[in-house]
Amino acid sequence: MNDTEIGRNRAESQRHSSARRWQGGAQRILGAFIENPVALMLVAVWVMFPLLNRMFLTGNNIITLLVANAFFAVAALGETFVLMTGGIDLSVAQNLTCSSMVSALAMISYQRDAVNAVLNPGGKVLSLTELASTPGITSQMIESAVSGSAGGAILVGSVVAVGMGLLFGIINGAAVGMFKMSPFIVTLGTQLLARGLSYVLSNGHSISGTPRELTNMSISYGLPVTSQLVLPWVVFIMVALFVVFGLLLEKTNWGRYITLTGSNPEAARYVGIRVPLVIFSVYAIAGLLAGIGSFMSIMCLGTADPKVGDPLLLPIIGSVILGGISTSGGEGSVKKAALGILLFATIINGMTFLNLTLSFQQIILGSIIIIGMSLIARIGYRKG
Amino acid sequence: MIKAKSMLTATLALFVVGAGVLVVGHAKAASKPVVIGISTDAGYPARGIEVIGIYEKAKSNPNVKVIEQNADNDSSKQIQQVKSMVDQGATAIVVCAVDMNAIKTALDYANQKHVIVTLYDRFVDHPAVKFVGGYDSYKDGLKSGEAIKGFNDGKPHVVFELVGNLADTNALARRDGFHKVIDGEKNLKVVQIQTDWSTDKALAGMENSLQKYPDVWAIFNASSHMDGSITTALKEAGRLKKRGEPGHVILVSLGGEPPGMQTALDGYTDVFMVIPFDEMGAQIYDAIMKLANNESLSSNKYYCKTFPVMGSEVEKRKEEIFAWRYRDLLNK
Repeated sequence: MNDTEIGRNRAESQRHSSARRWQGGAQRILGAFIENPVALMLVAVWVMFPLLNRMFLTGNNIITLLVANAFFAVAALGETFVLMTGGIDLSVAQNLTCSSMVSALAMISYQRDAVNAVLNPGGKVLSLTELASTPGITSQMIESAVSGSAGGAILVGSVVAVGMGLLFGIINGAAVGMFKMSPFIVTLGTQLLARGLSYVLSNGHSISGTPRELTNMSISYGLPVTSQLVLPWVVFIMVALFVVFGLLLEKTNWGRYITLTGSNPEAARYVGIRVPLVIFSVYAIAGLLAGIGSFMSIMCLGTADPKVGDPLLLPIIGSVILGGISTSGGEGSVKKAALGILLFATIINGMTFLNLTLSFQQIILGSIIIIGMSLIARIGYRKG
Repeated sequence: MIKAKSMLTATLALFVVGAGVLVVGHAKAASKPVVIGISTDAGYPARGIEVIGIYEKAKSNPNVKVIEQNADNDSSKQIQQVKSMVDQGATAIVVCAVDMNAIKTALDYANQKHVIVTLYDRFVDHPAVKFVGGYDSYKDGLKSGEAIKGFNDGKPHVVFELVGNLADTNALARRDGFHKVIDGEKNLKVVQIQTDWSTDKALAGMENSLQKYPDVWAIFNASSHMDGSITTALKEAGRLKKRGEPGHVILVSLGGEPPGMQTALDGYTDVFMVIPFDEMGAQIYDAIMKLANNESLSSNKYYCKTFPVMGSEVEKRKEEIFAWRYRDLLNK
């Protein structure tokens, strides 16, 4: 064999090995898609919608999509943990509503007191409207005092929102984990409790007057992408929560306990896992995340809306299940839940661009959920 | 594995076919310079009638395209829908807000992109708003009170008042206007029935109130879509009588929706206060076209002019009532 032949053989062998590598890579990608059909559906919709309307793939719309679904996604993240233990939290959406009400009232009350402390020290606490009609106090003075108290109000509001959400979570967790009550009944009860409280607190009206700086965190405060475009902080909060809780589920013993408790609580008990405590913790986490979501909803809406949670519960549960989180527990990950949530949010956003009527949107969304679930069920069956 | 692959292929094929159909449809609608984006709070028939004038006028102008989204009473979804319409290049948006505070972030967004902002039904205090079409609900309540007052014979009587959702400014204004007149009629005892605009609650409230006040003399219905609940409850109590028959209960119904129209045609209504919902769309369209051409508006508000139709005249004047004119659309 001369040098030319050796060189030819070597080149041939390199071509073969590169083709094999490519083939192997393609097979791996195909395999990954077969294992996770939601990812494939996600790719399909992200290819389809820009073809149908080129404005879908603009920075503005992607930011709109992320911001509009930020609080929904965080609430759904909490539901993921509950579903993974084989439970269900029906109160998560109304917990979000109620926590946002309490938080907004706390912020408004804090700001009123803070403005009074500056402009009307020692006097009877007056509302901002009453202060505006007080001689010697101008609207500029009030605006300046309101602006000065925004930081404190946001801090108070965030603590109250998280605390309120956590409180509902602890009630659910204690009843389900410690007292072995049915999660369906317990969380249905707390759902009604939270909804009723929201209406008592708000009298059915949305609560406005929260700091403008808070709303700006979903509009203009954030990371500048271009001179015209800002990726708002609310999106970073959502991503950070997904990363942190994803790591907690995958990399910690607690995460492994959740998976084992969900797949076989008896086995979990035998290996020494304190199952009631694990169940308590997931409901508490769901409550905590609903509380954070409630604060993010005020950021996104600029108000605390007593109806904000009404349409959220089914999309929360549906999107998480669509992502591949098993309702019987023990199966799933934060990554999968994120894919399901993103798919759900993308379809809703994309259908807005197609200007489909609400009825058609619901038909398409329902069909996609059925197709996705069938594929997931089929793959689960094949795996045995 | 093969089955899973074929299912995946089928899914992809479904998307591709769907995409193909929609691409073709979409291409036909391209290159329209004036885009009007309508965002409604919910999808009940009267909402469609409110904006029908926009569609009717746009039909005669090939340069105008109308897109519409229904928020299904979800304020967050409505914000996303309005922003998406702005991103799609809407020249103007026409919004009926789910939440009058939450919508402000979307109005800010539209304003930043120099989109003409108009509202209907729900007034929102926002500097971006250039035109509002709505109702003078206080005046409507006042006129309804006057109608009941017109039947007052000075004897002690019980009047049922069906009140709407207390979180709705229109419901509150109708209630307040009605009481402004009726509270001065000292011989009339008003019994409020809370409905939340729900026909079920209206029926339950009527049934309960009729148990306590079977001799009710008159009823004011703040929205005629609940007239069916009134007639059902009266029938159950043996009080459903036509105008002119002994024991007839006076009915003043405000709105003009199909159930009210039917009740009036059946002879049970004394005064049908018709709000011409269908006028509003055309007014909004005209305002948008003027603003798009940088013309100024003579007024930035339009109130639909409610008119009374006496029960005896309903048959003769039915062509004036939107529920009759658009009956095919409304009864679908």
